[in-house]
Amino acid sequence: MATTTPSIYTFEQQEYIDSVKKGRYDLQWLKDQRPTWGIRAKLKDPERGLTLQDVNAAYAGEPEDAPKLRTMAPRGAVVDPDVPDMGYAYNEKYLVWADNIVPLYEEAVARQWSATRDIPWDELKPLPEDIERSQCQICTLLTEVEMIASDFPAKWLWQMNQHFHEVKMFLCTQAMDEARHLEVFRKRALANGGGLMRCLTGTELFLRTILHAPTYIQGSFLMHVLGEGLVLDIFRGGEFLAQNRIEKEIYRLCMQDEARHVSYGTMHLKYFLEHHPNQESALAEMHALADVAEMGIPGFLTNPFIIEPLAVLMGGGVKHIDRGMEAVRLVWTRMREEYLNRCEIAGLDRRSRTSVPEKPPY
Amino acid sequence: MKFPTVEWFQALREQARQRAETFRRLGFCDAAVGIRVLAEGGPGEGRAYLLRFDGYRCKAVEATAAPEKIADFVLEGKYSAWKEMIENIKANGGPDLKHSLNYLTLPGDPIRVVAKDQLKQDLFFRYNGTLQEFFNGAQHLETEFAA
Repeated sequence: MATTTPSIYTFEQQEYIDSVKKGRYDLQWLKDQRPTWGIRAKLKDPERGLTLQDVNAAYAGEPEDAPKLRTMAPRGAVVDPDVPDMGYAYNEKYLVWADNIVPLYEEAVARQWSATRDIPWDELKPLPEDIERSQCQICTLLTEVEMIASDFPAKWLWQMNQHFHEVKMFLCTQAMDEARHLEVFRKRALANGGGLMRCLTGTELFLRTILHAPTYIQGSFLMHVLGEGLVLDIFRGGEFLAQNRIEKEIYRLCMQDEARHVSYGTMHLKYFLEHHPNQESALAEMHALADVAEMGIPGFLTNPFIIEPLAVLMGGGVKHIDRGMEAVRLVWTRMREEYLNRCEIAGLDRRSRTSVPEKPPY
Repeated sequence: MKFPTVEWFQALREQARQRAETFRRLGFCDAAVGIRVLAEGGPGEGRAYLLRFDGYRCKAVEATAAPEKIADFVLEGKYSAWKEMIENIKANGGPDLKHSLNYLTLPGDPIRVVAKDQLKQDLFFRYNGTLQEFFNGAQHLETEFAA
């Protein structure tokens, strides 16, 4: 019995195939609209290369406040009228944008590094037990917390309209940065005999709050401004934590990455507050969030599994832990001040409202 | 080469130019960085300079009376602190653990980072590796100090 195999091709596809076989091509695309034809983005700095700023400048490529389409079609392209809706939830610029996002992306790409290649691992030497345990406890903490800043943007990325591709691209660099931070701290913990140590319930609870934040702005504030701001100060304090050139490089390179993320978070908060259709309620919402979130800071900076290893490293051994606590106090004061400064830049004045004590309680 | 002078900073810039590949690998650095060398007598004296970093290079060095008016941030410290840092870089082929820019500035003493706002100050953190590498060029200079 003869059977008919259904064709994989639609009627229109088959028609096109038949035409091609006869040497007749469609070529409609050659007659299509070409809204950006003739645009030649110029290199502002040939040494630097062709940047997104150059491209955006060439065809007035700034994104619209509320693009009509919900597609992956690039800004500036001609789009079929019946394209499907991708189901994006973040379709307004103020929900994702920051005015520094384009140069931050370029900077992120230019300043990538390798945890395998760029750390002088071969110089690592055995350390006294108290120092090694302290370094490994901090490395365990950082291995644990850093990946949240990959998971969090990854969770929201697909929900952002591709019209705001610069934001999505920057968040991809952040995800890569944080993967590298996990890598470098895990490597350090396992490279010198100390190994991985304790993870804390309080830390996990804070990470869970970020991961499950109900909106992007809430999670971004918790992570970019508060969490990464705090970790930035620990990385900066890494100058005092480092016992050798290896650790110094690790903390410095991570600090550079983290500072970019904090910079985006701060400027995104500013953009959100300045462009929200109901600025008063947006401000109230962010203050309410900050009121609660700040209560978590003392939990971090009074936890002996965090501050005591920091103090041992900063003091140069458990015998000098008191001296090291001086540096921990400095981190507290600086962290609070820099956090308040960033909030102020963003238009969220927390100075009169914050519950974080100006002076550390120890 | 006397420190602090425009010529000394220009020599540092030339050192960086000769190690262009290192700076390319470190990535873009877009910042106007002020340097203030305070006389031992205290603030208000001494000399100040502006280093303009753009892309992979330090594109200009100039003397200025008030770098804080132009710079994103100013690294300010007494002459003796700068001298010790430079001597340490020279002696070790780079700073030891206690003489990196970040180490010296973290407590705000002996060198401090002065910026108009936090985001400008954060540039010091974002570009720290480039700035450190720039000053590491001092290991190749024969620096003369006044005292």
